[in-house]
Amino acid sequence: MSRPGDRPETQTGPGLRADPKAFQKAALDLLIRFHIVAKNARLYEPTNALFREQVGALHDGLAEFLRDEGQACFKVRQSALFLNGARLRFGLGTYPIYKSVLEEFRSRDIASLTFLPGLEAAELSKFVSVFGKRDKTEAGAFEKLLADLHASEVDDVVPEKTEAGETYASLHKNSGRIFFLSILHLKESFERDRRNESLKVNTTRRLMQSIFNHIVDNEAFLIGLTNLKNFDEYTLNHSVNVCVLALALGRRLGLSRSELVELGIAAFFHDLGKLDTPLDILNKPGQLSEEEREVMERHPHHGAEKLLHLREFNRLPLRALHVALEHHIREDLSGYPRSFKRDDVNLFSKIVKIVDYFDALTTKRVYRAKVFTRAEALSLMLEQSGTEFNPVVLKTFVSLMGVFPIGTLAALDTGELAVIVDLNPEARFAMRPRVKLITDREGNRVDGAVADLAERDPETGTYPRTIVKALDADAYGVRVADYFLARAR
Amino acid sequence: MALKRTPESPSPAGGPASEAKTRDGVKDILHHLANTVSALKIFPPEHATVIGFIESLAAKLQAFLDEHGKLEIGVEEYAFTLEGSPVYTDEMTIKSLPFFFFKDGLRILYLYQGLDRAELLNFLDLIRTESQKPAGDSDIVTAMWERDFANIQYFAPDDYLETRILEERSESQARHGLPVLPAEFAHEVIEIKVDTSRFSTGKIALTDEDRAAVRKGPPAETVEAPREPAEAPDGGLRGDSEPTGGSPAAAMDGALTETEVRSLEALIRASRTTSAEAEFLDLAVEILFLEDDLDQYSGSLRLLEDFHQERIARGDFASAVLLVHKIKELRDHLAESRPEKAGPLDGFLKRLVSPGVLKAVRELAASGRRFDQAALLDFVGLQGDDSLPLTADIYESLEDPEARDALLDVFRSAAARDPGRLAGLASDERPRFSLAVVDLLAGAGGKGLPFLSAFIGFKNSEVKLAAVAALGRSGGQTANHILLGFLKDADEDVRIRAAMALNPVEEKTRLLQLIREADSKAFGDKSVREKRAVLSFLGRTRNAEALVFLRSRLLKRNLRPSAAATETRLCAAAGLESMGTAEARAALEKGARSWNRAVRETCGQALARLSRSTTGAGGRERA
Repeated sequence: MSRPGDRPETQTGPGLRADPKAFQKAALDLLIRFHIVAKNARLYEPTNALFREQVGALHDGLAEFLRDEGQACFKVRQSALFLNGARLRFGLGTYPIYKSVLEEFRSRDIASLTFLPGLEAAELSKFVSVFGKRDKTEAGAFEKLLADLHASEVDDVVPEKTEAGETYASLHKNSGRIFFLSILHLKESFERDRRNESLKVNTTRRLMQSIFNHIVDNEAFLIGLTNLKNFDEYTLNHSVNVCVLALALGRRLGLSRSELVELGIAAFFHDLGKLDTPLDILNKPGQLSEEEREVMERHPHHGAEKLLHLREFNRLPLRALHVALEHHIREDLSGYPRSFKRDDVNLFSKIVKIVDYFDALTTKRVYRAKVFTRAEALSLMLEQSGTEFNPVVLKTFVSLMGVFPIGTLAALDTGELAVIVDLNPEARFAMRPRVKLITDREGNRVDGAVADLAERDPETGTYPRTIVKALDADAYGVRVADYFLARAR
Repeated sequence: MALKRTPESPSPAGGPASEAKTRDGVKDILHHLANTVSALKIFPPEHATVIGFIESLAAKLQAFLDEHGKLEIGVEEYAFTLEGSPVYTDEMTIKSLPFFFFKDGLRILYLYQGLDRAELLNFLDLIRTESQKPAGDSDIVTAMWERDFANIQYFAPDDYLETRILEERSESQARHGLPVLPAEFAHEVIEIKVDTSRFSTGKIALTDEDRAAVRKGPPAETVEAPREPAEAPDGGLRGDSEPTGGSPAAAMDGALTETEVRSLEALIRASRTTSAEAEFLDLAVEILFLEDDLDQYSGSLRLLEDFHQERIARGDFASAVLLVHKIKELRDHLAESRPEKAGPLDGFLKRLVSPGVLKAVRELAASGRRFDQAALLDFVGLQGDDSLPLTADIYESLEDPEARDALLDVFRSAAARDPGRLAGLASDERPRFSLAVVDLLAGAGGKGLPFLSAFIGFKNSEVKLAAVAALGRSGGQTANHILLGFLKDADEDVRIRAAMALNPVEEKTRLLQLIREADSKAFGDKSVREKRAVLSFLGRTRNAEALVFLRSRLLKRNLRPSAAATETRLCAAAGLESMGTAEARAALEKGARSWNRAVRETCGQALARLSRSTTGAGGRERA
């Protein structure tokens, strides 16, 4: 018998492999069907009619694929998913599925899952029932799965375990360090610019890669860190927040790696022009005078010009200049600075505009009485979709952040308070993220566990906790960022 | 990526013999890899040596990966390791492959089954490209990350990046005499410190409003169990959430619609297809537009000039044209409102045809590289007549006849507008161009013809002959007048051609002068071809004085005639033949009775031809 992962010795002809696009399409279709069945297996009995139909659809898809390829082997390798050795690339619509399947594999320590020819629908049904049991990430998850599959006589679906040693180091700690390294590097860059010294653009480029890698592995946590708001070093902290959010959004939009590096660098330096803005204007409480506003509104132009005049200009992405110049220009082309002949705004500028606005709205500033919660900020921004912001990019950002964005302080129907720490990858559970409990039912502060609001009580079948409303963390003196930083020590 | 190896990594299946075989196999592969990279640095990729190395490497790697599934190589400063033990070392920093990876923080390299020849070639090309960059620009980790190989992965821990950032900062601080943290404490700058005791201390009391909301409970729609799985192909990922009009939840109603996805794809596509140069120029113009500080303004213009030079050097005339258009547009816009900003733009436009630009174009033309000729035409056309000297030099330097032809339209227009200007650009230093100018001036009809006189005094014979030929074809007194000028040329061929091309002159003074010159001793020393040409011209004039002169020359007797004198008599016979009148024939008949045999024969032949000829006198000297 061939080993899982082996290419079969005989194939029925060139088939799908002859056309990489067709192969990708077929692979993604299979992935989607697998995902549907896997998540529905947790909710429905195997005898449920619609569920049986879904399993049947998966079986049909697999049968067709197996006829062409001889086997179907899903493999996870360093946050990438492969099918029969070909890497699957997610698009805008398939990202949640991709992420969900990866998590399914990781939580069970599965390195690969191979479907062999001869797999019947009944056997597949047994497999998905076993697989669908929601096992938490704990020692023995894989062995338990194997045992259950053996007990159910499932032989034509073969999982392989992640190799010993290939574990994930403390992601949170590393992500935290990268976040603060970014602030330090940006501080260094600003100081170099003040002294008219060359910037270390290659280091910046390398930093963007690292941030991206951490977003891939640990998106929720990094987004959580953007709740950090340093009042003294506002521009620095803000620029790093904007960079992280821009990269997460750009990734979600399907930008390539080189585009993402450019986007990251552009976001990183988008407020470089503020170096020329007097601090007493930047930090002035209350409204700015006409003259002060004019000075303030020069920072995009100054930022772009600084970047243009840098000796490293040829190493800087051109779009960094665009973003510096355009990040305060609205979708309807109003805004500032005035233009000579602009008829559109660069895509990267649209992206950075959204995340910049969001981070600014959710940061306490001396000149603004109110700090918006993340949910309020998103609502406010949606009202300006089409005029202030590009509607499609904004919608994607809202989808990224979630109904209850990561870092939101929420009141639960149990009386407990919690901080949102991760979104549920399934859209149907948008209102049921993962939360860290920070008070008990009486309001006493606790360093509580992380609860998945989508999990039902197995006895009653009901949800133990549901979010009632989002709260103003600032008003309650809750430093949300601390809960993320604590995980990064 | 954040994979971390722990000491409990599994050894390859099998006993010591198998392990040794595996190690040997890996050693072999790594040697082949290093040799292939070295070969690629010396030879082009299509060289037989390189191809041989690549094929060998690909075969060994394929065999290994088919057997083992993956190859995991540790990277130390000067060694590659397998299971922690070195299997390949090279301590020569300049060429060491391990060092090449190590210096950029790469610590483990993974090659997986599925790695095919195409991906391997891509990887090798990447190594070659990065190794050829200057040290400061090269980063193999960045390059690999951007290339995003499917079956080649790596581990480059963030410690490297952390150390790099901290060291750069320390360096910078030290350079400016600022306090520098000792290295052992530097990393503490980014240590995360949070007082978690606060998490379990105290109480949070809700406001009355929030407490009431909690008592009321969540909206019912949130509490209910999710509906049946939707029948959409994505299994309910669309439209399952409960929209609450205007709130983020509404936007969360599934993924983007098809229309929205298409709109986004169009945005991304547009972003990818816009030319970087066009984008840059748009930006630069916006920045210029906004800048009020004239020093900064000048600085930005200088940058644009550098950009222009660089694009010209690359043969990217399209960008150069675009730059000119945009600057002109800006200048026109600023002319009234901001003349102090418009002025420098005029100077800038003039500098676009500077000697530096010319040098770059010359070098480009000399390199033999192909470039967009249409764009080049646009570029020179934009400059108007100010660029004619540059265009002339460009024309001169181009080896490709097609490329030269493409420039002719520019000169043709110039010839029509201002032929004198065009003629003024012709010179001995621009022979190719000068030849083209001759044609263009001749083609410009009466307007251009007079300016062919510019070529009198040229040293280049080919150009002068072309001018003479063009004048000869044109005919007319203006052409004649210029041709007379060429009679005094230093080059005999030119003088002869000019004489042959001359038509009868109307101006008698000039003719008499010519006769006097032909009567001089110096004329006798000229070559027979030249004498023939001049005397034939005199004959063609059918002038009485010319007849008298020619007859006298033919019938002149010398006691001891020299060869030169005889030549002159023979040439006079040719002149009389050209004349062809009755008087001329009479002179020839007399000559045919001369005691000088050569004269006798020549005259006889001339008479014979005359009697055969139907047009008779007035025909030009045959070549």
